[in-house]
Amino acid sequence: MLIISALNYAQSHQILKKSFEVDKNTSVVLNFENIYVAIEESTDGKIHFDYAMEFEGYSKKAIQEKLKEITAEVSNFDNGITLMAKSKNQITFARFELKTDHGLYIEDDLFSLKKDSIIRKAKDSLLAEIRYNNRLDWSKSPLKYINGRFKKMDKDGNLSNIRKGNVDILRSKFLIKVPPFVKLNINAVNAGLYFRNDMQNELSASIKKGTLKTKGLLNAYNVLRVDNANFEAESISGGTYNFKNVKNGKIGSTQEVNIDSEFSKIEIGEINKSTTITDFNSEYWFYNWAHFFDRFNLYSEYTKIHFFYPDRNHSLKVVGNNTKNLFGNGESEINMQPTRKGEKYTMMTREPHPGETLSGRIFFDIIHGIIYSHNDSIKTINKN
Amino acid sequence: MKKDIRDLFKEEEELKILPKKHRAEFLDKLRKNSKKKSNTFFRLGIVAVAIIALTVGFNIFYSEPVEEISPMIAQIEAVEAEYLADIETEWENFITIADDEILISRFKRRLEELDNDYQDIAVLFKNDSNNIAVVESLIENLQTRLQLLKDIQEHIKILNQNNEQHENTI
Repeated sequence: MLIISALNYAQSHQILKKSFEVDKNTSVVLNFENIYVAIEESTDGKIHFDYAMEFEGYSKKAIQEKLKEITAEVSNFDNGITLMAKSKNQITFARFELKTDHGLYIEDDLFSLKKDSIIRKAKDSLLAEIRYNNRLDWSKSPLKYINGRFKKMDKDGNLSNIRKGNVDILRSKFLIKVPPFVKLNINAVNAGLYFRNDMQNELSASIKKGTLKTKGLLNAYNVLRVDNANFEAESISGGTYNFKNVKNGKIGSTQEVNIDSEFSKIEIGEINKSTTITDFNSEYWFYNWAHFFDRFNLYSEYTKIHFFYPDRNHSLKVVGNNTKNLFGNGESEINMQPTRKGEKYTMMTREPHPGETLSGRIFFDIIHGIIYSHNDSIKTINKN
Repeated sequence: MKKDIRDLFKEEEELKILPKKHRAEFLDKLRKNSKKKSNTFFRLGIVAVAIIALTVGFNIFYSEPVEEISPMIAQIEAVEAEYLADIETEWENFITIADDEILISRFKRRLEELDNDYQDIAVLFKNDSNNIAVVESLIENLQTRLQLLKDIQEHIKILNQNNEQHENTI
C-alpha cells in the first residue's frame, strides 16, 4: 500500500523562478526550443519567470535524466533580459510517455485527412473554438485523449486500452508574466506559445514549427513570422504577419493588418478595417465582415477562397485571370478564362447600392484561383 | 501501397491512408523481420565456428549483437514508407498535369522544406520514440505533404474543367 502510494505521488521540481524590474527601454529576448509556455500580463512592472515540472509515474532516475535534458536560463545585462529555454526532447504542457510492454496501435483517425468546412461560421462560433483550444483542461483527462489516438498492442496483435500504469505523465508549468509596455523578441522552434491575455506589447516573433495560440495581438508594429506551425488568435489588430504552411489557422478578427501567406489554411471570423492579404496557394475562409470594414484587398495566385458575402452594402471588384467562381454547392459557376499571354482583366464588378451607407470595398486580384461564393447578398441587397 | 490518383478523385470521401488490414500487415512484417534477423545470426554463428576451427588456440567466439527494433519504431517506419510512396506517386501525378514551371518549383521547394522539418522531428523521435506529441508531429508532417499535393491537383482539375461561360460583369 505504501509502495503504491509512493509510486502515485507526483513530484514537483522548480526549474526557474526569477523576477526582474523592466522599463519601456528594456530589451527582452525569449528563446524557446521544444518547450511549451504560457505568457500573461504582469501588473507590477516586473517580468516574472516561473517554470516548474511535475512528474507522475517516473522513477527518481528517470526524473533526473529528464531534468538534465532541460536548459532554462535567464540573464539580465545592461537593461537587456534574455531567456534561453530548451529541451532535448519536446515538452508540451502535458507530456505522455508510453511504456507498453510490446507496442502501440495507432488509431485510423490519426491518419484520416480532414474534410473542408463549407459552413458559414459566426464570429462568436470561431472565437469559441479558439478559446477552447487555448486552454489546458484536456490534460486533466489524459487517458481519454490518448485512447482516442492509440491502443496498447500485445505481441499477438491484440488491442487493449492504455491504462494509467502504461503511461508516465509529465506536466510542464512554465509561466512568464510581462508588463504590456515592453517589446518582446521571440524565437520559438518546435515550441508552444500560449498568450493568455490580450497582448498590447510590440511583438517581433519567429515561430517555426509548434504552435501559437493567443487572445488579441494588438500592436501596429507587430511583426510575426509563422512557419509550418499552428496559429490561432482571437484577434489581430495592426502589424505584419507572414504565414507559411500555417495549419488549422483560425483568426477571430483582423484589423489594419498585412498578411503575406503561402501554403496555409486560415479561417477568419470577421474582417474588420483595412485588411490586405497577399497569398500563394492557400485556402481562406472569409466568414463575416464588420459593419464598416472600409477596404479589403486580396492579391493571390492559386488560392482557394470560401467567400461568404457581407450582409451589408458593399462593392466588389475582381481582376486577374484563369479563375473559377463557384456558387453554393457548385450548382452554378462563372468561368473567368485564362488569357493567352496571362494578362489580367476585370473579371467581375459590382457597384454598391446607391443611397445606402457603404460598408466597404472588396478588391480581389486573383490568378489561377477558385472562389466558392456563399450567401451571395447580391440577390437580396440589389433587388428592387 | 500505391494508389491511382484517378481512383482517389472518384472516391474523394474515402481519404483514409491506411487500409483496415494495416495492423495485420504490420505484424506480418514484424515476423518476417525477426526471421531475417535469426537467419543472419545463424549465418554469423557458422562463420564464427569455422574461424574457431581454423584458428586453434584462440578460443574466441565472436558474434555481433542483434539490435531489437522497438515495435513503435517499426510501425512508424512502415507508416512512413507507405506515406512516402504515396507522396511520390502524387508528385508524379502533379507534375504530369501542371504546366506552370513556377508552380512546380515552388511546390518542390515547399516539399523539400517539409522534408527537412521531418528529418528534425525524426531525430527527436529517435531519442524519444514513445512521446505521443513527437509521433503526432511525424504523422502530421507526412499528411501535410500528401494533402498539399492532393489539394493542388484538385485545384488544377477544377481550373481545367471546360466551361463555355465567360462573363465580365454581374
